[in-house]
Amino acid sequence: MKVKKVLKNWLALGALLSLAAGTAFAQGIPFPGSKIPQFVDPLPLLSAAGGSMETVIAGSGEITLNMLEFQAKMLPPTFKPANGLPYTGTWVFGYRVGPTTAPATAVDTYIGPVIVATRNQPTQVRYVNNLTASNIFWREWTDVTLHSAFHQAYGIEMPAPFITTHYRGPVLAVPHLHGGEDPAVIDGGPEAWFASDKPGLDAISVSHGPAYYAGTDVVGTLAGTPRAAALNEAIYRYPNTQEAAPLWFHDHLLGGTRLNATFAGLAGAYALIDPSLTLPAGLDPVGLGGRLSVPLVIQDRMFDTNGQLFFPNIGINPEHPYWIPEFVGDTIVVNGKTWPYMNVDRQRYRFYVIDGSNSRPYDMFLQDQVTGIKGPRMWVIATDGGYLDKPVLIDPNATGAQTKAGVQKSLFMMPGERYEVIVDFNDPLWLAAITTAYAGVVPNPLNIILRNTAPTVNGNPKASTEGRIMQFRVSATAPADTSYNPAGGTPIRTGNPGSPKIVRLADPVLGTLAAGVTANKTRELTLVEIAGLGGPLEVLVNNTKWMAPLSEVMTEGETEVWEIVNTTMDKHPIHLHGLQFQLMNRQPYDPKAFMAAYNLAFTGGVLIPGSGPPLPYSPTDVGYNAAVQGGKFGGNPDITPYLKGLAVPPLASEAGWKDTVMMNPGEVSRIAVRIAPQDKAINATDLYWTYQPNALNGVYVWHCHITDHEDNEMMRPSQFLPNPVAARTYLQGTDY
Amino acid sequence: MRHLMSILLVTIVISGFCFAAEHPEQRKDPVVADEPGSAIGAPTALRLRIVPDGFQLDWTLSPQDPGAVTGYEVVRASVFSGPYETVGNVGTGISSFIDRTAKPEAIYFYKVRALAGSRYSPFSREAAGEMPGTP
Repeated sequence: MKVKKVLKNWLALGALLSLAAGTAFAQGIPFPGSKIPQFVDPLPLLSAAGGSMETVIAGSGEITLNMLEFQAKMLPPTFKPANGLPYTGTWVFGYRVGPTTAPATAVDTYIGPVIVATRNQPTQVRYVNNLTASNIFWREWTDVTLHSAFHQAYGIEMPAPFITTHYRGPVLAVPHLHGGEDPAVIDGGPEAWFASDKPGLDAISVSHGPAYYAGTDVVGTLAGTPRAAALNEAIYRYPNTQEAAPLWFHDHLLGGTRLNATFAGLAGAYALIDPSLTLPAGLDPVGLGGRLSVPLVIQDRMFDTNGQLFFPNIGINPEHPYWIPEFVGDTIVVNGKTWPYMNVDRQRYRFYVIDGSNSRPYDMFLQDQVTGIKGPRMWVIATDGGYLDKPVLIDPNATGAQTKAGVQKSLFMMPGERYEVIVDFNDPLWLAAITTAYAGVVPNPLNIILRNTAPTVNGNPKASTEGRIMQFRVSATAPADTSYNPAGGTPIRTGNPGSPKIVRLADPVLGTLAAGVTANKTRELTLVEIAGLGGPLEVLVNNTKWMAPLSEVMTEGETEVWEIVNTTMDKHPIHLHGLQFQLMNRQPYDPKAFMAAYNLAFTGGVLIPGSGPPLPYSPTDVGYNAAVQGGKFGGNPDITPYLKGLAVPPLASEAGWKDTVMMNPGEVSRIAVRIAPQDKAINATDLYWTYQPNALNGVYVWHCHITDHEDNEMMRPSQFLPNPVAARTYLQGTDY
Repeated sequence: MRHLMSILLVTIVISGFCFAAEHPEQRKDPVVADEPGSAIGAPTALRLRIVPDGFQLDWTLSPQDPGAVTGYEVVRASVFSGPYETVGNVGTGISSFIDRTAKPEAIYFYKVRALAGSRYSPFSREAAGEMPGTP
C-alpha cells in the first residue's frame, strides 16, 4: 500500500515537472583541463595575511555566514570563453561573511571563510541560506532518484528509481562542522537541511529537513536583543571543548553533498586553537614563527568552454540517471584557483591542508620542475583532530632503511582528511642537492611543484595536469628563521603541564588497543558495493540503506573497536561524526573466502542488496551465534578465520586523532572509538561531554567521505546514548 | 501488482519524456557536415550495460540509416572531457558494439557517431560504465 502511494506521488510529480522541463538550461561543452595555463594566479591567502580568503576571529559575538551564489575568478584572466564574452568569473556557491546579497563582481576565491575559534569559548554561527541557482548549473546535476533532500522537499518520503527530471525547487543546504565534538542537533547532519528563501522554479511543500534544528540565539539573548532563526537560517553555537585542531566546515545535504560542498564550493576552514596549550618555541597557535598558517584546500574540477563548472551528470545506471560513482575532475584547484603559485622565501612555512575533493586522493611530495630533484622535506605536525606528539618526517628521498623505519616518502590524503605540515624551504639537505644539480647557479626564483601521484578511477594522474597541484616559487632570500624547526627533535607535546600528550586509545607501535584500554563492544561492519547494469548502483555500509532503523547506537563513556571489512575494490575514507577516534591497524583478509561465507550467511545463500547484515546484529538478538559471529556486534560472520598476514599499525602520520581514515580494499581497518571527549584520561570517571550528545533525540552519521558515495546510501545514522552519570553544563535551549 | 507495474511503467514513460526534453542530443559537439543540407543525424539513446567480457553499447540508428550512413564509430575516454579514442567501428544497420578492452574498476565514457563516407554525424549523448574487479 505504501509503495503504491509513493508511486502515485512520483507519478503526479513527474507529470507536473514534465510540463516545465523544456525550460531547463544546459551546461556546455567540457573544456579539457590540459588547455588551462598553469601557475598564472597567485594562491589566495588569508585576509589576515593580506590575501583574499576571508578570515574571521571568533569572539563572543555572532558570526553570520551567508550562503550565496556568486562569481569567483577560478580560471586565469587569460581564459577566453567560447561564447565570445570576456571571462568575468565562474559561478559558484560559497559562504560569505556580512551582506546577504551576493558580491556584484567576481571575488578572488569562494573558499572560506577561515574561522579561528578558541577552545572552551563557544562560537555562535548563524548560517543563512540565500542560495540561488540562477547561473550555476546546479539543478542539472541533481538526481532525485537518490535518497535525498530533494524528494523530501517535495513531500515524498522515499525516492523512486529511473526518474529523469531534476530538482527544481529552492536550493537546499545544511552546514556541517567536520571533526567537531558537538551536540548532534547542531552537527549539521544530512537531514537537518533548510531551504533558501529565494524561490526556485517550482514550489516545494517542505522547507526543512526532518532533523532541522533552528538553534538558540544565545548571543542576542545575552545582549537583550534575541533574534530567532528565520526560516532560511540555523544558529549553531559550537562548544569548542575539544583539543586544538584543523577542523573544516562544509555542506552536508542529503543526496547533495557532492554538489553543494565539494563541487559548487560550500566549504571553509575552522581552526580551533588553544591558548592554554604550551607549544614549542616558534610554533604559534595558528602559525609558525609569527607567520600565519597557509590553508591549502585542494580540490578538482571540470569546466565548460565558457569557464563555468561542468559536472559529468552521466549516470552509469538508468536507476540513477545523473549519478556517477566518483567524480574526478581534470583540473586541480587550490584555494579556489586552478593550479596557483605561491611566492615563498627560504624559510619554514606551516600549511593547513584539506582534501576537499569529491573522490580524488592526493599522494604528495615536492619536486623541482627542471632537475627533478625531490624535496624539500616536510613534517606533519597535526592530524584531523589535533597535534601529534612529535613531528613526522615526509622525505621523498628517504632511503630504504629510512622507509623500513617508518619514514614516509609522500603524504597521502583522501577526501575529508586534514593534515598540518611544515615545509622547510631552507632545508639544508635539499638545498645541497639542488645546488649541485644546478652546478651552483640556482635560479631565483626556483620553481618547485607540489606533485600528486595518487591514482583514481580514471587511472594514474597525468604528470602534466592532475599530477601537479601547485607551484612554489622559492626566492633566494633566506630571512633569519626563529620558527619551530621540526627537524630538531623537539616534541610538540611534551607531556609536561600545559602540554599533554595524546591520550592513546590505540598503541601506535603495536597496533593494538593501548595499555589500560578495554573495549566495551567490538563491531564488525562491512563496506559493500552493489552492482548495476552499467557499474556500481550504490555502495553501502554494512549492506544497510540510509532509511533503515538505527543500528550503530553507542553509549557515552564506553569504548568500542570497529572492524570495518572493505569488500569493495576501492579505498574509502570513512568518517565518523561527533567524535575523534584513533586508527589501530589494518590487516589483510582473504576476500574470496570471506565473501563466500558472507554470501552463505544470507537467506538463500546470496547477498540480498540493501537488506542489512546477514546475521543478527547484537549478541542479545534472537538467533545470534557467538561461534560464527565472534561475539561481535554488526551481524556479520567473524572475519577472524579469514585474516591473512599481520595487522599493520597506522602510518606515523596517521597515528593521532582522526575523524576520517582511509580503508583499503582487501583489508580490515580497525579503529578505537571512545564515546567521550578526546582529552579525558583513560581511567577517568567523567567520560562525558559538557552537553548531552543526543539531546532532542539527535543523531550523528558515519559514512564514506567520497561525497559521490555518501550521496548514494554509503552513510548511516549513529547515536550516542548519554552516560547516566553525566553532569551537563552546556544545555540545549540555553547554550545552543 | 499489475496495477503497480502499470503505474511504474507510466512513470518511466513520463520520465523518459522529461529526459528527452531536458537533454537534447547533439548538445555537446558541433555538427561536422561538409555539404550544406546534407548533415547526418546522430545516433541516439546510447545505452551501456556490462556483459561477461566487457561493455555492450546499444543505440538507436541514425535517421539516415538506411540511407547515407555507411557505419558507426564508437569512441571512449577515461575522463569526460576527453581525449576520446576510437575503440570500434561497425557497419550500417548495426546498433550494438561490445568493448572488450576496458579494464575493471575504471570509469569509461563512451559516445558514438554515424559515418557517411568521409562525413560524420554529431556524437550521441555519452554513456558511462564501470566494470567490477575481482577481489
